[in-house]
Amino acid sequence: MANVDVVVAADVLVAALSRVSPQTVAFPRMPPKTASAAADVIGTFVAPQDSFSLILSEEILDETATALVQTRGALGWDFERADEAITVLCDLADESHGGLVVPQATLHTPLAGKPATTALRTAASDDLGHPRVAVVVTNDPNALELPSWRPSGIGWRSEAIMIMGPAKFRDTVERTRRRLRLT
Amino acid sequence: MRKSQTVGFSIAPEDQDRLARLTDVFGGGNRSAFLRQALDVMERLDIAQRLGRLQAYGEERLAAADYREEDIPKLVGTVLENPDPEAIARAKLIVAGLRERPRLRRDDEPLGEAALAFSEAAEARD
Repeated sequence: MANVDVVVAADVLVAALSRVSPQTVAFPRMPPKTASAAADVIGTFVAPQDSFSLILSEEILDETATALVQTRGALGWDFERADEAITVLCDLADESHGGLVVPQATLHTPLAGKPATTALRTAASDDLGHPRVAVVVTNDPNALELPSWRPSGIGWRSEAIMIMGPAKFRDTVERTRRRLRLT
Repeated sequence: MRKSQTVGFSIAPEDQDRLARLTDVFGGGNRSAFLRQALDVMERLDIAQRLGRLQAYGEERLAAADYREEDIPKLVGTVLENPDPEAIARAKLIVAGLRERPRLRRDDEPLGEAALAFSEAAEARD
């Protein structure tokens, strides 16, 4: 049975790696809300729930690694630490029954024909099968203008991809878990 | 052909009741099934600990660069619009290390309970 496929954009992954969040890693307790919504997003996959799969692509990880290691006007992570961070994210994806997929090459959104972001193209990947419930977690204002998106021209056979910020995703996960406990 | 192998463990007398109880709870009485579940749990614990160490380092880097967490989306956007050649090269090297990892390829399969509940929860909010 298919889980919720969650594509996390590079800006959210970088934020999740930039804030100590002891609650997130207080294993195996279900992560509560913390002051960092991005860390909570990653915490979703650490908890042994098996309901949410972290979906990544080389392109998202390339963006994440670039943002981590750049020194000029940025964070300037050591190469080894950035390498370990990318490995941990991949391990987390695998353990959540997600993993690395190949994004769609080129897609456009209805927003004045703007090209779809890397995270959106990853969520539309052929590798994820159908039907799927897919969500993109991002802070990209252009992507967030679309609360949902149905890719066109690729034989899409699922509900529209949901697009939400980290805080909304975290809140929706909480409500989902509450519903599942009640049923 | 059977691929699994039998491996031996020694259990202290005081742990035997605990093993039997946990095997009943998590493995339906099957020790192999219990061990598979225990491995999954320990795998996640390892990931959580590694993630925690990286977050501590990341917080140091954020402070050293004089940014706050809320600055990160804009910061990432700016970097990706105009990345330094050295950052590009380093990132490519890191990602090249992923080539050996198997890619996820799902067959079409029905939606699980959580997927349906998530859709409903997201709609309820809006």
